[in-house]
Amino acid sequence: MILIKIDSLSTQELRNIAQEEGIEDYDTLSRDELIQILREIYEEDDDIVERSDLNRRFLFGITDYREIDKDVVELPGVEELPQSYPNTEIHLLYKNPNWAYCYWGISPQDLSRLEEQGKKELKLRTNVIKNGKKESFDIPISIEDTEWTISLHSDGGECYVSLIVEMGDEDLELAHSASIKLIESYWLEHRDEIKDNDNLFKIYLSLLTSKEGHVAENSLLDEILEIAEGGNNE
Amino acid sequence: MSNNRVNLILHAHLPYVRHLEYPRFLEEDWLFESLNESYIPLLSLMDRLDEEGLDFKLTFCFSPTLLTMLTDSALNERFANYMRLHMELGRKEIQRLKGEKDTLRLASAYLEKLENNWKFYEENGCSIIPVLKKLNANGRIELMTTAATHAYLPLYAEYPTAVNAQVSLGISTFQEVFGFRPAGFWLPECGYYPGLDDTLKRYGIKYCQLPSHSVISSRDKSVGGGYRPIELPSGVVGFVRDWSITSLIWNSSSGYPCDVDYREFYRDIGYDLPLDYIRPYIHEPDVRVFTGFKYHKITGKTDEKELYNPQKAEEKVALHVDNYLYHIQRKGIMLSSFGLENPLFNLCYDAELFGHRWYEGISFIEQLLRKSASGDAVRLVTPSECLRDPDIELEKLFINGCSWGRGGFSDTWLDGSNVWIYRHIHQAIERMEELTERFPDQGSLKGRFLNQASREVLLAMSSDWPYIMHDNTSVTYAEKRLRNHLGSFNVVYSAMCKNTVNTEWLIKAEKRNAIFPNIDYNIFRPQDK
Repeated sequence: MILIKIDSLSTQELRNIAQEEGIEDYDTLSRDELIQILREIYEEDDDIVERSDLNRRFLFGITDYREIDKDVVELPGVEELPQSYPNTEIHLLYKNPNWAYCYWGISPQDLSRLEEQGKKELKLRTNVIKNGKKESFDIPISIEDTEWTISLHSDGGECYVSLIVEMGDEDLELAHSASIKLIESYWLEHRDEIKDNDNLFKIYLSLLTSKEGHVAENSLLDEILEIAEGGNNE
Repeated sequence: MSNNRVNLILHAHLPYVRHLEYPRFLEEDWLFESLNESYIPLLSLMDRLDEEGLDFKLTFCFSPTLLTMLTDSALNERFANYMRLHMELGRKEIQRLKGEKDTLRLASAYLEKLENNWKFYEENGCSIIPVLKKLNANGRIELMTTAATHAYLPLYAEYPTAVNAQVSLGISTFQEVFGFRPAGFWLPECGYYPGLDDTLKRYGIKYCQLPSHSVISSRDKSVGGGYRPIELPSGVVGFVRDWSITSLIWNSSSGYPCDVDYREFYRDIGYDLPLDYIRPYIHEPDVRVFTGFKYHKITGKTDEKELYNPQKAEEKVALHVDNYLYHIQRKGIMLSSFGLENPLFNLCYDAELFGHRWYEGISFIEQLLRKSASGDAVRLVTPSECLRDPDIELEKLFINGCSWGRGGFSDTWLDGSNVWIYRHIHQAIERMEELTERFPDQGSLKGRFLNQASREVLLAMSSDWPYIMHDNTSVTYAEKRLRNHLGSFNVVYSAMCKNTVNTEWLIKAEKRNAIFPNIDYNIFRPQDK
């Protein structure tokens, strides 16, 4: 839900929105009361209030009109999306240098087999391969889980995840994901060179700094610049 | 001649929205507002400058979904109705405002703009395509394409057939409209992953654009700092967006459009006037929307908005254009002092920012083009021209995965609000691949059924749905659209598994989602099989 620049809206506009929100006595409330009530409504809804951003696309109004959106009429035969699909599979999606998201599904056959064997816990194994070496770590998960967010490092290599069930002393892999390439940054690999490249970093920063001196928001950039600042202080 | 080369790239994109089942549909206004407030004024301006003989150059990307809507006769009729309605409102405003001299002048100017836009549109056969073709033929604008439904490609890296389909249909749709193959491919949301350039190369693409932080974070040491084009491993060239210069405009708190003398976007008679008056021009049932008739300036953080003064705003535009050019020039001097000559500044914006989101943006572009042509601060170029320019050195780099979204990676399209969609979209892609293998080369009704299934998968992949969910604007609509495309795909999958065709669904689906008329579902056949 959005409500943009509430302070700058006219009192008439505030009344219109209050009316749409079903607020009684909307036409007798003062401007301050209207703002307060609307703020409470929108803050309850979510965290995003009063955003006015040129980057916002697809706006045709000041509010989202949550209950009066026109239905998109369904075509004949269209059903609700299923909760799950009948395959055992796992997928890994790269979110940012620090996190990846993975989701999985277990087929009804595999599920009943696991239940018959009394298996209620599984393991989500994260595998990182770099320079031919593989490192893995396990996260215990419940048989009811279907997704997880995994912590990553930005020092290169590839990563994939597997869904593992313990069978006695052995691990049985139910499924594994495709690999994703992890971030490998020259400057994170060559930290000691940063201090000798002052001018080059000035060039880099000239592309990434606003006129107020703010650097573009980016966790990897922050990490590199932190090293650079540390290097410059030495 | 200036050594500061500037690649100005405007990206025009809207999701495919077409609901002929309703007399008027709220979300179709995205297209009509963009046409009336951005695309027509921009092209009309460029047409005028071209006729004047002004030497200017810039690059436009029109997405395949937008091109499809721009060439759709039913949507064109609805746009005509939108314009008629708004011109009627303009005339009504002139009556209402008699006696209020200054506001009346603003209303008259709005009406005049509407009439001029419509005249320009009609003179070009009720289309902007002939103007784009003419400006391209005259060497004023370069045209590039993008992914078929503007899918955010890094989240489909696991599905090369789907990425191929997005790229190849993006190119073929462009070719059908403009009659030639594009050299450039706009990466939706600047979303790149290692290997994507191989796909682009395979389809004959020569260049794409890259986000600003991709250079400092690359796997190799860059010495060009983003001011030289990047030669990606495949040989495709990436032009790196200059965040610093673009943010002079595109900063939501300090960009030029925030100036107190510019027109206030959010103050509109669609909200200010009584319902009885405004009802015919808003949506049913009494859904207040922007009408474009806005009489106030930003003024400041107050509800006491002052009347908009176009002359004062125009003076500010002149100052802002000078400031913009000054920043580029100053940066050129700074780069030169570090030994970096002939820098290339890649300035990429959403086309809808100019005119629609920033009312004075059209005038800004006009003055920017004029001052660039007459002064020596910058030299406007196009990406293809840069590739031919012997003075421009390329820099070979391996670029990591990146985007221009918040944080620079995939967070915008993969957060708590939208992460659930990928399980379903990925499944639909896998099932579409399966259908192509089980039912290859089907003709007639089954072929049409499968073709429509591939359209539904592609429409579900659009980056707009997760973006809207993330941005929390028209979430209900985005979610319904996504569920409908995926649910529709499942109709085909279930029916084909029983070797049947749901003809009722097919006829209606083909009418509703009439995109990519020449699509062949076999584009989803995995290539290694």
